[in-house]
Amino acid sequence: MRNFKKLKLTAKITVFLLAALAINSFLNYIFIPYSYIRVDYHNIEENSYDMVFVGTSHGKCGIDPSAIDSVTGKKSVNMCLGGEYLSYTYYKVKEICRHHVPEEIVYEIDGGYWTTEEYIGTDSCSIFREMKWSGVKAEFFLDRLLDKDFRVTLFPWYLYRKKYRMIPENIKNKFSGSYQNLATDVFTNTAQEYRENGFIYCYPVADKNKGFQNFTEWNSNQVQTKTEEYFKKLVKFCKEKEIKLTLLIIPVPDMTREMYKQQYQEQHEYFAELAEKYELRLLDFNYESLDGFDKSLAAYIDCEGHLNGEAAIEFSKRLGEYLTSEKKMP
Amino acid sequence: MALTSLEFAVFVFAATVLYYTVFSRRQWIFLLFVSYIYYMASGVKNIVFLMAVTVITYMAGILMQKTEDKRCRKKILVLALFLDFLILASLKYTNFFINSVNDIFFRNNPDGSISFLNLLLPLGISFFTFQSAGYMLDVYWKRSSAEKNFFRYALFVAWFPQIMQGPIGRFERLSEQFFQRHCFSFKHAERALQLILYGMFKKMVLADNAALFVDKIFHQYEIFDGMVILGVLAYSIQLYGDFSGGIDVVRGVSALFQVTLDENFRQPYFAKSITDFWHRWHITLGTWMKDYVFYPISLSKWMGKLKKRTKQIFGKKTGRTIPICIANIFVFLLVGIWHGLAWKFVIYGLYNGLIIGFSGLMAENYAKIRKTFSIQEKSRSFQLFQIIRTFILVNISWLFDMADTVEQAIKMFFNMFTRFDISPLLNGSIYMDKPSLISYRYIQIVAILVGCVTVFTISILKERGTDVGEKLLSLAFPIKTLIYLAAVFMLPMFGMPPNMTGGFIYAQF
Repeated sequence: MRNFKKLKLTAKITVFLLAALAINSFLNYIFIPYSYIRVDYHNIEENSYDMVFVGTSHGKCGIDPSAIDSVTGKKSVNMCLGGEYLSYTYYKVKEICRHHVPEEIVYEIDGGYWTTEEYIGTDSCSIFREMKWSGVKAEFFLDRLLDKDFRVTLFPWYLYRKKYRMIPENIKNKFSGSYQNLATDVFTNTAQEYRENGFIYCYPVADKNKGFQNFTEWNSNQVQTKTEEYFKKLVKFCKEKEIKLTLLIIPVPDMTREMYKQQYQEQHEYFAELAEKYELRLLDFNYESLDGFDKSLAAYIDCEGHLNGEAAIEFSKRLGEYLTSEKKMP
Repeated sequence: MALTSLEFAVFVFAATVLYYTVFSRRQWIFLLFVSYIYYMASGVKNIVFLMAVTVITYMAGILMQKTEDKRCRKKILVLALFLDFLILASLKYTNFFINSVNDIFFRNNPDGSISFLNLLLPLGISFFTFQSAGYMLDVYWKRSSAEKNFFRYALFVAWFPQIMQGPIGRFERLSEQFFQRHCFSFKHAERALQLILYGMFKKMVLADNAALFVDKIFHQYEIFDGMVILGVLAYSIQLYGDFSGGIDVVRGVSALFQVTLDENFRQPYFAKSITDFWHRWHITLGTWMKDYVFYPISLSKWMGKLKKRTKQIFGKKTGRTIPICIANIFVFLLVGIWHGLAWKFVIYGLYNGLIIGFSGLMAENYAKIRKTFSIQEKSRSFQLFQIIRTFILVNISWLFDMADTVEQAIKMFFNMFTRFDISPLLNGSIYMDKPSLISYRYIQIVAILVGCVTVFTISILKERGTDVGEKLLSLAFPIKTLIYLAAVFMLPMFGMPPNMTGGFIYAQF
């Protein structure tokens, strides 16, 4: 009798857990969109690259690996992602190296992610979710997600619930096989397109529509200790793996640089000092003329410094020259 | 380790399993070990303060027990209380004093001002200081005997579910449960999980959604000056959801180990007077203040003398009430300061104390008025009037609690009567600086409404004496499952991310 009672109770708990699991899976299916991070990871799983670009949205739409490769003669990939803090970059680099150790890693810096407190957003969460299970993922989880709100891990759809209007498109992408086949055409919309090797080509935007949406002024006193710690870890990891680590700052429009002259100067000094301390090469293109490269607002899609597609290709060629020639920054 | 973090859930789960299996014969030792592990997770340095308070109050208890000399016992008590509160005051209030000194002496010469100290504020220091002080006073008054075993006493001070935000426990009640042997029971576990779920619901669905409005309206009160009523109502919801939700979670976690913590909230917004409100809100702080501050003051010799004097001047009844009013005002002044050393909290405490004192003095007159107008005290309409009146008075006090300064609270108070404009909420301009939330505000309002209706219904049932948890247990499995699943999935569906709303408010005390 007692055993029967226990069995009944166990069955009830199992039914409850299964029902919860089914609902959760359904909500994950409809809420979580198909993201190009999946394609980015696929790229590094399937190919070997000499050079890997990691960093933020400025890098994602400012670095065209094809343009760089045409100059350097090497093979590179853009693994940058908007909203990416350095701790996530660190684990992404580890994941990349799990598949293949590149010769060089170029870390594109957006100062805003150094001076603000890290938060979990849809992008950062997908860096973890799309990673295949491995020791790196387990380490990532224990280090960065275990101490976060339980909803982030147990209910991944929770971060996307505000984007409920995307549900039909999410279902369509997953149902049509785009998700399974890693199709990239679904990432093309009126604003941008996803190109090979992880580059996002942004279409030009009218000047009147350009503004500051997610801009953080640099302040050296607000640099987060945690970010500095992860930077040290990244440097150490690259040294251990004998990977050349280069720091890169993509130029912002001249207008923005003039507007926040002192802040950009301070930012430059901070990273120059950091690069010197760790014996790294810093390419800060806010302080380089780039011989005729157009830094007017016309080359950007906003005032924060996201390059439009054509300008990004042009910039990438120049960057390629720097990366090949070991040309010194002034 | 935040109560809403995954690591806390894993920690509690692992501890519960080990408690009933591997350590089933040494349960209290395991609880002590777990409590210290939890505390150390908040910072290893913090352990120094917890240990210091534990050692001081343990020694004081033992020494007071050993001696019968009243003067000697008093000296031990005073010294231990002084040290106990010195730790709390120095960590919590030093920077306030520095700020005040700078304000007075260096206003025109900021270069000469004293720098603020970078002091740690250990997790739950207010709670374990009050708890251990209460223990010493109980031993001093011989209400309970001192615990001889240091480690058993250490568990009482460090018990991990309650250390962060209370409730403030009593040694007699807790020790009985700590040192018994407990066997696992599904029924107990389900009741505990119900409490945790309900607490999370109050925090994530109610408090966190209301918090966004509160943040905007209170921190940009000059822009949203027509929304004060909405802001203060949202703060009522936020504070209740946050604090009582947090307490439900810790009570639930403690109940998993079959240690029942004292109830800290009993439907406070159904209170019929401010006195009644404080019997229902943060109950353990209220009873602590009553037992260890109010009674000692009102029964003290000097208060006796004052009572005699006031009786001579004001007559028997009023004369007897005045000293009680003074003791009440003092108690609430302390409650205010406990919230933080700032003028707004002093006003907050005095406001409550004065209303309670004044009500005491006017009690007879109120009775006469009721008689004159033939108002039945127990009639539903009068009770409703009392509840609404008390709710309004409480809401006014929240202005002082939440506003940054007294000046801001007063401005907001007047705006309540002179301005009313909720268009920023309707047209979305309330979230001008967070555009991603503009379209979300309707869902936010729905979440608050659903949360309020749920909590209101449960509160009415509880007020009528229904054990809602027990009722839920007795429901048919499919219905129960649906209710639990709905509650579980509402947490992520309607809850706001912590980086937008912050953790539990009282976890900073």
